[in-house]
Amino acid sequence: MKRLNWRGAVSIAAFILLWTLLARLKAPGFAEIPDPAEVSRAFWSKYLPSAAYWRSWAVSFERVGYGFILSQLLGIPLGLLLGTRRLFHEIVFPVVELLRPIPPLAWVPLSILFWPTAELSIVFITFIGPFFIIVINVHDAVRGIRKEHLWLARSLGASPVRIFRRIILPSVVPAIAVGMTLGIAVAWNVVIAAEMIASDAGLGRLTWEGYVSHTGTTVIIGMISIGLAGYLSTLIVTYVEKRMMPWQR
Amino acid sequence: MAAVSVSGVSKRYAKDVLEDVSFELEAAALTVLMGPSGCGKTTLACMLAGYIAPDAGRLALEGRPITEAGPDRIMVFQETALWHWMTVLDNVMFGPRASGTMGPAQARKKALELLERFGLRDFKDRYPGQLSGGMRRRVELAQAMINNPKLMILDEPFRGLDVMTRELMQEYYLKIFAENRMTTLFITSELEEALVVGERVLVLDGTPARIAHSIEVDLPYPRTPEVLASERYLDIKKRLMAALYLPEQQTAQGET
Amino acid sequence: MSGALSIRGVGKTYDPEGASVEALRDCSFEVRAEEFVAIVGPSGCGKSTLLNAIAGFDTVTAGQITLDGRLLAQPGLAPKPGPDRVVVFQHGALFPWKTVLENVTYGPLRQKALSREAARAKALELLRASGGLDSTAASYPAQLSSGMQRRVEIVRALMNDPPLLLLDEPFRAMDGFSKATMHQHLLDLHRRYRKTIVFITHDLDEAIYLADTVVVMTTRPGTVKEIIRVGLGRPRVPQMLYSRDYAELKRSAAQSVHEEARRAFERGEREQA
Repeated sequence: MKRLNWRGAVSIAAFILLWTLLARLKAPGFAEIPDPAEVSRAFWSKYLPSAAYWRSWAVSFERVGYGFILSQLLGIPLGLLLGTRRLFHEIVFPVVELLRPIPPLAWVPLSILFWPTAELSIVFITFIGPFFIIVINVHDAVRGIRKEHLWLARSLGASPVRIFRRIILPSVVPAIAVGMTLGIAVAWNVVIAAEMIASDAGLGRLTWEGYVSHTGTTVIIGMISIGLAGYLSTLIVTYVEKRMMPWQR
Repeated sequence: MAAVSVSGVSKRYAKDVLEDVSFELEAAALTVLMGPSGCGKTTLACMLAGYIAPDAGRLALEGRPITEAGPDRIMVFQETALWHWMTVLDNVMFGPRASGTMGPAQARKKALELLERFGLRDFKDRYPGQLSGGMRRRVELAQAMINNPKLMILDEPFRGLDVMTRELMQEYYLKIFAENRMTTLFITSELEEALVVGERVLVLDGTPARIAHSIEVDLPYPRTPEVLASERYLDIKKRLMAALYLPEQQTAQGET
Repeated sequence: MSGALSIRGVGKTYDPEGASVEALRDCSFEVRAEEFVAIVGPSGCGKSTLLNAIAGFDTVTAGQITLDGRLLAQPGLAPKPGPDRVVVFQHGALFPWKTVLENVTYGPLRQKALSREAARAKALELLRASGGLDSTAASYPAQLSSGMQRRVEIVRALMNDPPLLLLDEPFRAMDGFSKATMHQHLLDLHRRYRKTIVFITHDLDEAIYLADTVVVMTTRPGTVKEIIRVGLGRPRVPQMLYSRDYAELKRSAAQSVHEEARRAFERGEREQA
């Protein structure tokens, strides 16, 4: 039974009150910004029952989903290869290091030019951010495995395959967890911007259209939706992580 | 033939420099290796285990040269190396399964037997992170011994445990040693510990390091408080202290 | 100020979330000025709790602690540490971002007890007396070995000229060789500066070798089980470690200590299961 955080509740109430006051009194900058009551009304009457609104959710989630999962499916093996095979490391790592510093959003124009459809170009963006993150995390984790862990396995007669399955893979699981958590956050960051630029659907697009049409409620609902979507994704990832590491209780 | 022979071994490894180190380990005996910090005891242990190769010289087990790691020589490291993502039971079973010497059912049975003897059967499904330091060490001993190695190498296995747990672990280990009589090399920096467990003490010292002294500990097992208060014990302790601390005594104010 | 410490009927019960835990019960013993007392006992026997109460980091729920007749702790009295009794802990408590000299002079300078020049001079003198550590004055703690760091901490403690020096298992994490050197060093300081020392340890050998009196504590709730007077002469030299007197002392003390250790160990195993 958690004790109610009175101070927290009061400060949230104060925040909503302040917002209401500033909006109603038309304080500078608040000319086109609606107050919380208006936002709430608009949400319940217009957005909640609107199929188009929930489709935006689905569209954005799909893009993040495809990009993120693909990034893990390709990135984890690449990180493992880079960490375990010296020759592979020498050949491939320099290229990785060259491309890694480019922020995902900087890839947007190239992505649009390259991919035949807008959808593919957006998924590429949600892929590239988490991809580099997971590659580096896994690679560093493999490098960081305690040599005693490997030595003991060798002494006990384990084959390289067994060592890989039972020592190396579990050792990098915590790093994968970290990489996933960072990756999902980055994926959401970029999908919103990518949608604003390149698409006609999705939560980012919704927010952008609110701006273009001077509809303050749309902008705010868009923002809150995006925040919620990111939060939900993180919950899913955290759940998966907990299942991956039963020894950490 | 001695169980283990080390002849003319030299090695430069990180900060350790060993030169022309030679000694033999008697079969079924518990030999202690002592020496100041950083003089190369662990490097020597790693060479015996086959993890690193000497720059010069030769190490052999029962006449056959040691060239790589294998289940006939198992080392318990200074820092616990239990795989924290595997349960206690899986850790102990790993050896026989990995080397293919036992099927899954047999390995499990043997592992449970050992855990029972070590008083840890109730913890078989726990993870190492949930155990105390002393318990983890016992699991490591079980993990090593299930393979019946010809040589056990213990690198300061009880370091970091509080003195009480340490003494209980020493008692514990000697009981097991009495039953199994595995050739053992026991590395420690605690003089009292050396005299409680060892049949012979080798002192590694100098820069570059070499075997400076070899002292027989001619005391019966078990080393009861009476034995540890006898004249013979005090005499051996005096000789060991002289071998270890003479240079230190002269520079009591110097570097630690 | 001469450093006579009196512990009378000290008890400590604390109450984490409603489950009352009695850490100490009716502890009593006297420490003469300039005496070296070692407190030995198994894990969880309350040795550190007692030390914290003496040092002024924690309260007591029963009894009294006085230093030279001055009240240090009593039920209801708020804890107040002071420069008259300084603690050296097991793990390094030096500021890693300050040099050795800055670390050592920090206390007196902050309390404005000494001028900058006087603090520096005193620090260098104490460091020199601790095995030529004055040469490390401009180094950072990370650049020193653990033994040297411990010696610097002891110097830091001595800077305040406290009549009472408290050490909580300061050498526990060190290997046998470094420990032996530190023992000689501490004995040397005790002889030279004539402080009262209260030293906590698990290690009976260490306790007998260093102290004038060994206080054996029981496992939780901690109380005084036995007080052993160490009749070995001073100055202590390593040769005493293989003397008959030492062996006899150890033998008679060991039984007492091991009883409590075994009890604590078994309780610990039961608590884990």
